[in-house]
Amino acid sequence: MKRASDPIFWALFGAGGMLAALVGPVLIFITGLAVPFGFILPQQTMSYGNMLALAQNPIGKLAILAVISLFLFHGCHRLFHCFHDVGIRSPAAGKFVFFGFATTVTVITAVLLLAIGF
Amino acid sequence: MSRFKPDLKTYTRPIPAGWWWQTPFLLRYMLREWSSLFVVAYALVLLSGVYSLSQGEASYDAWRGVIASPPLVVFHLIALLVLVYHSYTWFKVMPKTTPHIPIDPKVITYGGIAVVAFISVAAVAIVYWVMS
Repeated sequence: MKRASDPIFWALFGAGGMLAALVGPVLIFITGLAVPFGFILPQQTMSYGNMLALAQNPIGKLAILAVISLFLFHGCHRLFHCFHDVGIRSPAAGKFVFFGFATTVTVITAVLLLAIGF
Repeated sequence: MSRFKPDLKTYTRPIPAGWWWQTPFLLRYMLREWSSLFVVAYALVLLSGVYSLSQGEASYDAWRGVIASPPLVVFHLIALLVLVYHSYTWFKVMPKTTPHIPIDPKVITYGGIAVVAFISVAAVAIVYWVMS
């Protein structure tokens, strides 16, 4: 019974790591550097109207949820083991804190995306 | 250095606090694993954007102001470098993490990096094309 949750978190870790490897750098470049400064891409790319349209589109909602949730499950899995590596060792508490955090934020993101409407 | 230990009250050999400074290999290992801190932080930045978006235009514009502020710009610059390193290491270890497939490990690593480069250029080009 105790082992049953491991493959799920491992799969989410792998999916998140793959997604972060493929689109992480370019997403950070676009949302954090290029658009805020109008460098290559215009600042209005992330205007309220454009981002609302993205968040109201079902595929857009799914993409936003996938990025936030899978990045978190990937990162939390690694941080869980990082804490182990530096000597903070409690597998049960660590799993509860890190995977609980990733799950909670996933639910919050889904609720917010639904609240934004279609 | 075992990554998994059961919740048993067994003896744990003490490990010196700075063990990962000992060799470049361990240092790179730690850098790769702690890159996850920036993956999590960036996800939370995006979440704050979704939250502000749900609160209306004034709230969202305030969020954009914060994103363009110096601390967040520095964060995104570092995060970009860290995520590039994550991409590189992800495909570097991929030959070891995938089931045995009859493909040269170098093809997997450099193929993956090439795909990242393609996606990155394509994503910027598509956004540029859509916006012009």
